[in-house]
Amino acid sequence: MITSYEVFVPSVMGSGASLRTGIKVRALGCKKVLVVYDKGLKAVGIADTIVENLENAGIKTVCFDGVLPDPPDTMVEEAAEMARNETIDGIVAIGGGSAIDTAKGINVLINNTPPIMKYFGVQKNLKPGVPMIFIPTTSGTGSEVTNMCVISCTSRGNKDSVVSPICVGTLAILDPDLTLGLPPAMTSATGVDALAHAVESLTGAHSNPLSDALARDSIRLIARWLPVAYRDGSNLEAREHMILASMFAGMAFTNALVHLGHSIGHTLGAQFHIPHGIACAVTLPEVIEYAAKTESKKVRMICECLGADVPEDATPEEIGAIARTALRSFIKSIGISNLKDLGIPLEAVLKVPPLITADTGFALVPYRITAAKVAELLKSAYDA
Amino acid sequence: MWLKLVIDMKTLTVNKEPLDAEYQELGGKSLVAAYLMKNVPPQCDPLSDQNQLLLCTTVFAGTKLTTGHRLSVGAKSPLTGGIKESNAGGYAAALLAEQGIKLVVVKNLPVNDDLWLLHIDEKGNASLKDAKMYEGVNNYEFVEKVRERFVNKLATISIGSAGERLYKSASLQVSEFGSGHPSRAAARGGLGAVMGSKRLKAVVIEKPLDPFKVPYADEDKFNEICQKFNKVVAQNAKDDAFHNIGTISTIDVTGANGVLPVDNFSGKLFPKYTEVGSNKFMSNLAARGGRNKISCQPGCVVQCSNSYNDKDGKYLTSGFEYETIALFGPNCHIDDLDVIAKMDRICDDLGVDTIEIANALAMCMEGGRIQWGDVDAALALLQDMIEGTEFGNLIGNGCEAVGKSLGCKRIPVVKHQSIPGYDPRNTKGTGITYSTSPMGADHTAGLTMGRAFDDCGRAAQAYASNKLQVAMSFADSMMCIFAFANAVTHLPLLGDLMAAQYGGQGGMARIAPMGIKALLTERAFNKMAGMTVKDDRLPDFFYNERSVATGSKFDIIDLELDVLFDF
Repeated sequence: MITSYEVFVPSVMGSGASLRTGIKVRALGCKKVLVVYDKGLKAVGIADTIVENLENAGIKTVCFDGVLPDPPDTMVEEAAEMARNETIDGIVAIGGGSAIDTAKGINVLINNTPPIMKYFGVQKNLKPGVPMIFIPTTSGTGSEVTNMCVISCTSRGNKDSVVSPICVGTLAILDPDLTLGLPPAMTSATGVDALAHAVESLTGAHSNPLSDALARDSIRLIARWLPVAYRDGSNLEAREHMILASMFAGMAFTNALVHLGHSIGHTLGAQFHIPHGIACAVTLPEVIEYAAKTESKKVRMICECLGADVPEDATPEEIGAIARTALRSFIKSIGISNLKDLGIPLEAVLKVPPLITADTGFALVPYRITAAKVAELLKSAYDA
Repeated sequence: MWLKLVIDMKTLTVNKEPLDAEYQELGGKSLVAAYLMKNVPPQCDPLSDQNQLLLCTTVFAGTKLTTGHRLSVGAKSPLTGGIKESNAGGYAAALLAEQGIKLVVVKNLPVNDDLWLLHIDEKGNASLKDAKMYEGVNNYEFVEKVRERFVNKLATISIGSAGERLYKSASLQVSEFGSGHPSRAAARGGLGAVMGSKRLKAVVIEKPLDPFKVPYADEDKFNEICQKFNKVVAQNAKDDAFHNIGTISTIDVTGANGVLPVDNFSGKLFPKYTEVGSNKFMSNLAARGGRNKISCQPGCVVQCSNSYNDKDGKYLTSGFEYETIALFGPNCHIDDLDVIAKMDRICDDLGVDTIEIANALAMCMEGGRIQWGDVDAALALLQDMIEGTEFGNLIGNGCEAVGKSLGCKRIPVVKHQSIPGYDPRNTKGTGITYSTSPMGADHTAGLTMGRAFDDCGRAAQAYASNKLQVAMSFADSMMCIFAFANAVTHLPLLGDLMAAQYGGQGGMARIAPMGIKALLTERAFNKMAGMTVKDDRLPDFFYNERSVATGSKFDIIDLELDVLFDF
């Protein structure tokens, strides 16, 4: 099969790397930047440190500190108006996926008229925005190296995404120090998001040797280091490996694309307001078992990366079952709850499948699956 | 109440009856599927008395919905051996609707070899009239003669000698609104042969003095939604190349991206594709007094049709379309638009499917009977077909018949029906449609080009094919797919129109199930006719040979095809 290698964002990585923000942004020629983050990040002092760092480099800053989880389109449009009024020439986003995706959404609207929902889907002809610098403070989203942003559509009550070169960052600055203070629950909820990216990339319809390599290494790193970071947040070595794993997974899925797990994740997230990583993780074992029917070689790789033994003569179904068990056991080991423990009634969960099959990303599933069969996956995962 | 016309060719009787309650809210493809499933044994010989020929209008016939007057023709296909719905534009459906007729059923076979035409006069009287004098008369001449015989404003649905000779490529030709040329074809699947087997030469429909009044649940509501919908189509059509140029504009895209079939789907590019593209077409129209932007049916705002003249400015053909040009052109290594127009005229006149016949000529080139691009030899073969020589008859039976006879290994057919003008390696979703459509290789069942991430990649192709096959299935029950394509942002309005006309629920929930049900019914019919999953596959060479233009092979796995219609 002929494949293409997509989108890589220049990155600076390492403990303390965020202290180079000012120098790097100045080198990009920016004079006045919009700094995008949420109030929590200001509270822990990370935002102020970076803003000060930028100003010390002679760069004017305007701050948008109103980032909300699962960024709503209305908030993005408000921030974009601010960016246009302030005539900024760069955007610096600090935070998790929500802050980075907000920055991308703003960039879409710098030179393209709102509302942002006009641009959902694959966009090849948007007018370019400004340079964007992404500084992740979680290890999960990988958004710092992807070409898409996920936005909550308030009028339709779902999540959709803009996939476009305009969403590609100019520079990613990955500083594991910024993740040291993440509490265990956040560490695991974001870490499983990276895991979901990696395993779905491996089994994705656009996977290629490069994305496979990135995804495999990402799974190995996550299997080894996420439990450590979960137990001991101050372990810098674990945080370094996790921020790398998250970036690798982001690079992998920008190439290979994610599929059913994310359609489920986006829908559960929008319906029940569960954090994105957890929403993707709750059915991930079942999703990968389903994918094994056509992608058994890739699912075998997932098992190997997780350290699960697969007999050489295993059938696709057997490989799928082993992967399901291994993934579930790993997810439970880092304290991720199932849907039942999250307090969601089974009846409510079973109403969701038609929305999942209507999700934009459903187009990418490895092979067609009906809403009734998706319901079976959800049922199996519900209290597992 | 809508009427059904039942023609029994054995007793030579014509009965006008109220349309059965179960078909009231169906039309086009959905009506054909439901009727054939119930009334035609799937294992029957398509040319026997057990098969029935259906002519029907859409669910929106008689209304102001733009392009609501497609004519659907249905029967078990002599070509595919499966269920077949083939639809055409032209004037006939509009006049059937004015006559209050939704469905014409032609049953049984006559006891002798007389030839008949069904005449529906301006007062609504329907009768079989002797047509023996038109035996062997081809469509253009037939239409002229009919107009001499019946003076009122009328539309015709006719077969040429191909239908009379029971060619598996035989079409029904419908006269165009305005010009009256028999250039709109219900071409695919050899339904002209079913009509020929019943010894029915034509259906002639006069414009009634007292037009039928369509019953509505809420007429004002219908007209309000309809006006809105028509406006959307008209607005979007302004930027549609099918309106501004015609379907030939597709060549400009496919010639550049390797989707255009060249030398029997060799996968090569055709450097001279612009010789048969938009610029050449438009400059020929301008220089010779031809025209585009013609409505084939009244009230069409897309106006994709055309009238193409020869070098001397004399009318040559109309409804001159992409498929015909791609397949007689680059796929036979021919780059002369005038020659292709002449071939189109021959096919319309004789009453054969241009896709099937062009692929049959490519088989003659592939099999070494004539040279690639040899225009004179190609025209001579068509002449053989006109004359009904032994080899000409073989050509009339289509691509697979010729390919097998000449020992070709690369025969581009699915369910025995030849592949239209899109290489399935370079638009894989379209390849999935070719494979899985109950119709056999049929681009109108769901052409996905440009809709997935990468036409040569696997991602999202099955999804795109599934979505489009469902959409085309309900679109073919309602209107022309070219107008439909200009209204994709407003599809729930079609459901709202159903509600305003027939009552009940509106929106997508009203129309998507109609498409799904028709598809599943068609598949069930084919299964009972003996088709298996093996019939849902492209020929091996698309899996084994690379397209030289892109390096792509058709690599969709079997499971994706097998579960495509799981709903």
